[in-house]
Amino acid sequence: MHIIAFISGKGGVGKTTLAANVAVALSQRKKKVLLIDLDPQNAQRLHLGMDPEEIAGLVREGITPTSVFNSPFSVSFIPFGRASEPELEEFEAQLKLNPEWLASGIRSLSDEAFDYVVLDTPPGPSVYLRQALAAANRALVVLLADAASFATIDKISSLVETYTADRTDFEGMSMLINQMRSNSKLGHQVRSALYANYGTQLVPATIHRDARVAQALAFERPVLQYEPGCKASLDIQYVADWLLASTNS
Amino acid sequence: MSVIGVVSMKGGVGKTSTIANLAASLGAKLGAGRVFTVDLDPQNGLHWHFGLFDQAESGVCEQSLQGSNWRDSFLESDFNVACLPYGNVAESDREAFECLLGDSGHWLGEQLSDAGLTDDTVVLIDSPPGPSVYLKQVFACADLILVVLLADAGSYATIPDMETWREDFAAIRPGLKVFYVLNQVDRSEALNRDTTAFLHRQLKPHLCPIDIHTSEAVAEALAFQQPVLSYEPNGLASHDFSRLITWVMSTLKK
Repeated sequence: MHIIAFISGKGGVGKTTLAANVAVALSQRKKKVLLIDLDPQNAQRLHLGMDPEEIAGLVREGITPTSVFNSPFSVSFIPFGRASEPELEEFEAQLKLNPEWLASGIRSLSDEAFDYVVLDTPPGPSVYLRQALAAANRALVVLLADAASFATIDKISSLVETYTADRTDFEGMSMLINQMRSNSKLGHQVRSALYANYGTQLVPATIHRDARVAQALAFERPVLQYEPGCKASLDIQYVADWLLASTNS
Repeated sequence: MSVIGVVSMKGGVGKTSTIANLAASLGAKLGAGRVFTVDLDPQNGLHWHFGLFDQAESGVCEQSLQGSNWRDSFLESDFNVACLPYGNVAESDREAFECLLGDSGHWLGEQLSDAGLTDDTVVLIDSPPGPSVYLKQVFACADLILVVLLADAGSYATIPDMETWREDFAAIRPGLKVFYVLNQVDRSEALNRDTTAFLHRQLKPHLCPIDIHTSEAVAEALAFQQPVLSYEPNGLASHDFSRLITWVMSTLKK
């Protein structure tokens, strides 16, 4: 079982979209994939066509074989779930007391049950990021090729270092550029600066900006299913191949 | 003193760009010493928009833990806007600060009143996305709150949660004004255009009549660490922000 956390220093960079689609791409490669939504925004279910009124999920059920939903896109899925403010506060207090809650929950699943576990997290420092980094074998930092994302890299890198310092089975973090506009001069300049500063830490693929990604969400399905041949879908497939190749080596 | 909060349930909708550019537009209209901004987002990104990148190690988090007065902590910028950054802090300080905010519901209002700002000043407050102790402080203290949305399905899905907050606080603070504002509106994309029209119909009494249009200049201005009003004074984005802050100020007085 290999655990991949999708993280970011800044919100709205497309973490949830990429986590869902990479999970789908891995399952298309005959891998058994579990996707866990660790973001109180509880938005992952929209990408996977799940009932928005469903209250079950991580907060109420935790991680057990019975809390796993089968999504229509052959990815197993634990949503965050709907929670009231007091429930959320209590859940976060519990996570704070036990930083290994998620890691031990995943360990309690049978080792053969899943080949990959994909974790979606809220942006920036949080109890959820800490939980994800206590469990993950690797972290994918999602970035946009703009100054706002660039400015958050040092902070998220230091958070990853802080929270994985004692982990011998953590293989490191990689950065993935999302929503790259081919016609944006600033985008190309920022991408060049990213390669110059962080070269080997960048995933050797860029996800291009594609209006079909927003359309797919409006139809409550992954873009890989909505428009398998579009630019963003092909980019995501490339990232999935890269993930498999770099996990096996 | 008027207090304007800028919030959202989803990240990356352009909260910080919006607050920085509204503040700069207002600074250009009112002159020096009237506009203040406070960054209550641990991402600590607001000061970048005002060219204060190397001065924001300390900020509201650390100084609040030390009990300093905000009056002495604001950084002056070149844009008639003073900025109090969140600060670049260790995880333990952030956690201690959040405990402080959780324990003291009116902390933000108290800090602002202790700072002794004059009646004719305007304070704009940035917050992190989603429910948090920061969001609670903003709702407990602001005169007017702008909820930033994109015209897409991701933002649309967050409206019910935001409405819950709006209704809960309307019961406690009947004078509080809350308005949605659409950001990065793109007339050239069909889905975005349709969603914009739909949201205007659906949110009507609670939606600002002025949208902010998508513009490469907003991202470029940040790369040059200045508000878009200074980077491209005559562009579409500058025009939108200027009209929006005029509308916000007149709505505050109503």
